[in-house]
Amino acid sequence: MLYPAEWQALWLTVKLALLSSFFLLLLTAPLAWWLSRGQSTGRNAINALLTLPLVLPPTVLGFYLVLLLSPDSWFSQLLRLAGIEALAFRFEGLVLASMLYSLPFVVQPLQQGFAQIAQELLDQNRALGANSWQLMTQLIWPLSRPALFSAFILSFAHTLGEFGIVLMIGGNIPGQTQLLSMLIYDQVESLNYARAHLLSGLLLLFSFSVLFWLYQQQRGQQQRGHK
Amino acid sequence: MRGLKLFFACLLVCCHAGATQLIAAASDLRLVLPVLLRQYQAETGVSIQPVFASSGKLSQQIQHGAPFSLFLAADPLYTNTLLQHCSAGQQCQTGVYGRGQLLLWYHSRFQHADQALAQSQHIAIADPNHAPYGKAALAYLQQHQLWPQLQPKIRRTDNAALVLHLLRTGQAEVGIVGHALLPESKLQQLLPQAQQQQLQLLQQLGRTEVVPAHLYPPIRHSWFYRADQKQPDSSQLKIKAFLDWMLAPEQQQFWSDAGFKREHN
Repeated sequence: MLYPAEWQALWLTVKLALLSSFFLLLLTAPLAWWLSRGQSTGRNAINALLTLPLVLPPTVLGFYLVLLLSPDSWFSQLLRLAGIEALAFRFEGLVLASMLYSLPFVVQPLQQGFAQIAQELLDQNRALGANSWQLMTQLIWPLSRPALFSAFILSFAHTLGEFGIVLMIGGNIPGQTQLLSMLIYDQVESLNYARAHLLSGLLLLFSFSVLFWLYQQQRGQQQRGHK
Repeated sequence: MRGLKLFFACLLVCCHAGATQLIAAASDLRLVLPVLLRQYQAETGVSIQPVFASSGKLSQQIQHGAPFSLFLAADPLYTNTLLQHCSAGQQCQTGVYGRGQLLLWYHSRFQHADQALAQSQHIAIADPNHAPYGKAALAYLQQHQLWPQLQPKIRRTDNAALVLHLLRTGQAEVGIVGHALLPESKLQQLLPQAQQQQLQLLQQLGRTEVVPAHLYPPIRHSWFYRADQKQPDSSQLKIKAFLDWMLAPEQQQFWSDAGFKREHN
């Protein structure tokens, strides 16, 4: 049913969504925790900064990322010192771009989830002798799991539908940076409407199936949590 | 759950395609270049994958590190710019290989081209800012006696190939495209079935006229090739072999069927 190039684009799309969501969760969880623990001008400034990708057009972020990731930039020269090639037009660059673009979709649900864990609860458990590791694994982790799940779902779904920014950063290179959304655009340009219909339907079905499965898992978790 | 696991396993197995070489090409070649690449693969066994966009966008991408050894542009302005930016460790070459032609497509409810230009709601052209065919189309319209009347009707597309999409879906009743996007019937027969059907539908829906060449600046198609100066890698050598093959007199008939006039450096 699908040609190898279409499988490749589908695989790259899924891989990008999984990797960028995973790394985002990993890197932003401590930051979201700190942001959820109070109000200050500094926290508000960082919150505003993290929410910018939601407001700015993807072209603004894309434009600066293209400049930042191109081989002659200071960032690429730093990477070269560390033995890493410039990230423009490479899958790794797409992961970085997707992470930046999906930042608010991860940080906000995490922050809201963490904020619901009352400081008093943490203080009481600490007073009863729990150390930081025990607090983390036995209290914070189980209570934050629904928020982590929501953040992952939002980031994953957002990345599946990305187009503009990944086109600017990745350049639509088959097998390397060509995602399903770009391949659909390619098929429309080539007047291959039948393939464009098929791929669009597939993306729709796949996105729905994954989201439905994730929500089912989340519901299962919540039910287990209530018991 | 088992279905999802099976799906991911299938993805992993199916997504490994064979090794292919990449080239960048202007969007007006979107339909015909894959035909030429299939011929080349049949003759040599070497698979080359084209990436299409407007010449301006591809030129920007290459300047910012896109990994293309060969770029087929629709304006030497872009290939010459890349030549000037050729880095120290690379050898770069450029040349002109043909002159493109503009076609005016208009809906068959109009009797002739001038009536179509005057009475149509929308005229589709590629974005003149980064698509050479759009620049030439705009120059043609600007010298037309009805220009003040035509100007507000212009609809710009991201690249030359998308003009066809607007025409096919009825979003514009007049469009100006490169001849290579509406090639001679001999070449059309070599396109995939789906594309042939769409082009036939377009032919049934409207009429085409070649825009006289003196009414717009020449659209000179050029190539840009770059390789490592000391030792080009095997991929770069394969791309160079394709470039030489593509420019050989044996392929002249193909370019002619695609609507290109012969052009020398």
